Amino acid sequence: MLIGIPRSVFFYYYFPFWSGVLEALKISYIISPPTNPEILKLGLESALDEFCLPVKIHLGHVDYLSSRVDYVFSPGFGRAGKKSHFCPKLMGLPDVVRLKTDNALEFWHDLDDKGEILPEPWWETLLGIIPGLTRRRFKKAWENGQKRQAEFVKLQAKGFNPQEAIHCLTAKKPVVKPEGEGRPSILVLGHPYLVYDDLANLGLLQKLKSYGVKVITKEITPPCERAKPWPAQGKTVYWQLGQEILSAARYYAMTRRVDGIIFLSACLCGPDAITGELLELYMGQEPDLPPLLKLTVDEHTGVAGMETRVEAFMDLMGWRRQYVATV
Amino acid sequence: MSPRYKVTMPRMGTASLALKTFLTELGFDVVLPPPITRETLALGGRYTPEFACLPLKVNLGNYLQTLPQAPDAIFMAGGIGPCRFGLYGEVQREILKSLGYDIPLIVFEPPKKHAFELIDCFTRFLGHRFWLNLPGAARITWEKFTAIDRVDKAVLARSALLDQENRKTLWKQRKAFLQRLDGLMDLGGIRRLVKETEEGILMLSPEAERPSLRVMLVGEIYVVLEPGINFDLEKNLAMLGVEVHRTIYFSEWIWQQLFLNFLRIDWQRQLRQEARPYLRRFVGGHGLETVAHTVQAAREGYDGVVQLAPLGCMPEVVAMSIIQRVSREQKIPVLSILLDEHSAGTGVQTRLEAFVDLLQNKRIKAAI
Repeated sequence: MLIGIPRSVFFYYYFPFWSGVLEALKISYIISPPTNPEILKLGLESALDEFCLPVKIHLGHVDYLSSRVDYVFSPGFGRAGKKSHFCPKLMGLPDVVRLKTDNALEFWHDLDDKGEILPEPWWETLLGIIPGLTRRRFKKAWENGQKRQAEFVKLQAKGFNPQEAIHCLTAKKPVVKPEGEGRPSILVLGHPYLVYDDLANLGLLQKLKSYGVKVITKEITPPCERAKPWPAQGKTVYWQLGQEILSAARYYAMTRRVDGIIFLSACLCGPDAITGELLELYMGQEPDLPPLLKLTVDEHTGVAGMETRVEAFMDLMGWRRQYVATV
Repeated sequence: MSPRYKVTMPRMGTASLALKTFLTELGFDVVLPPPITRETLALGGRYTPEFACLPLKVNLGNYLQTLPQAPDAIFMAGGIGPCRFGLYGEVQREILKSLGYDIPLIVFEPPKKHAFELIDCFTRFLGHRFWLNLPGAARITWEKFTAIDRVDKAVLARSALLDQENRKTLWKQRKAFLQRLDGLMDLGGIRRLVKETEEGILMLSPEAERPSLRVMLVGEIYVVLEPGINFDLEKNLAMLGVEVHRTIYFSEWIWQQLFLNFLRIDWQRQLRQEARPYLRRFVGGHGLETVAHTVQAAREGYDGVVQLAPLGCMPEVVAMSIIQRVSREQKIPVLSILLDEHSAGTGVQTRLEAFVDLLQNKRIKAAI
């Protein structure tokens, strides 16, 4: 039996866990390649126009895999603790996929207050494909997944972003420390399926690195700073990632640890329309914060347009540094 | 006597009539925003994020139109997600702040946890008057909600049976009913008015015994209920001779949200079962209801389904993707209309007419 794991949605957050569980159960799997124009095209053909780019990309990966494997791993995301949710589109995602693909297998993610995935929905799904699966074997596999995920989190604490950390884990290469203190530094905020998908973001991270920028992403935020609200914030944002984005911006901006912030979002992304606006409004109320660039991408975004904006932003950061130095 | 505070709130179809009564009876002076026009949308759209959903923009337009009358506070409803509605209050307050308006925006959250905060807020404004006025205010507000919905149901059921001339009279009667209801502040008067209106509706003699076409109207509550946003879609569809079956009534929604949820009664069970072959989980807002009602419409032999939603509405986009499949499998035509501040009435009307033509042709073909 072969399972296909799409390299989309929360692949860059949960792949170590997924692979840990599947391997312990002796299920072989393949991963779809990094998003390429062919996959994007498949997605655009099968998705509704009104969906955001990440959902279209996900449907493309699913389509790419479905003829190559026995089952497609189809993740869904519901609650994140008692008070937070994932985006409604990710809640409906397994059903959207199921109605388009015959061999999709739903793996539901409900997180408890500690951020641990609840095993019950997984047990039901896995029981459906592995006859005679025992609770004990399932528990062992589950623990293997958790162990793998813990290693992954440890790598992130060392300063690797999820993309690099997964690369370290899968390539079994010796761990090389990410590059040290290079100036200037930019905090790139956004959902993992945009920030780490080089096609969706048109190679933004590579581009920034090629300019000699130190790129920081929100996963490196110290754990105690991950849920802190802005001074002006009245209500916590109830999408877990939304609040994490706001809190990461607060931490890096208020402590002046970065020279600039790029807020990367997808056109028609519901939560980001709100969190992006809130971020701008909160930042506007504090003096002397680093500048903010909001980049919105969709399947029609051109590389030149994005490069121009990023270069202009870099110039702006440079002028600000000079200005601060002369005053 | 303590001063009367002046408050305002966003508009939402005919429900704002009843909500205005509630606040007035509690002891506030209520400034209701003018009916929603393109100007409201332009004003709201100017200061809100581009990809925010339409109701947020309209609400802000409402505030900006009433703020020149210097209200003391804005009342707004809230929520706990996952749909964006629950964060409207936060965004709108910050936007108003950035525009230089320093006005308290008081958000009503679902009452489970916030009951005390709510009471605290009301007593701060009204003192002990709040407790004295509350039962009466609640009673008359509820009466108005149910009166509006009763008349709406009667109008929608009758409209499809009438000829064009009588149809016009019928919708005029509805308008007159709403105008008179606005001024009434006693239970007896409201009941008499409803009776009178219902009798008036029955006086219009039907031309046909059964409606030629029946359409289920589903979607997101705000755009379904606010004629200023949906270009009076319900009436226009009815004017084309279609019996419109609206699935959302404000009184029912209030009943579900305030009472059934509070008592933990699972009113959604049947809907979940209906939607289950297609959508197995709650996706926020009215997404699950939209799917469930579409399945129901197919089962009950409706001719078609019209889905109304704001552009980019997350639950409705999921529902839209799924009801396309329902439409294909159950052979029921579905028209999804997504609205934003750039939508135009003519465009919507053209699509409605084309849809009704399609339904008629389908009927004729089936008869042959």
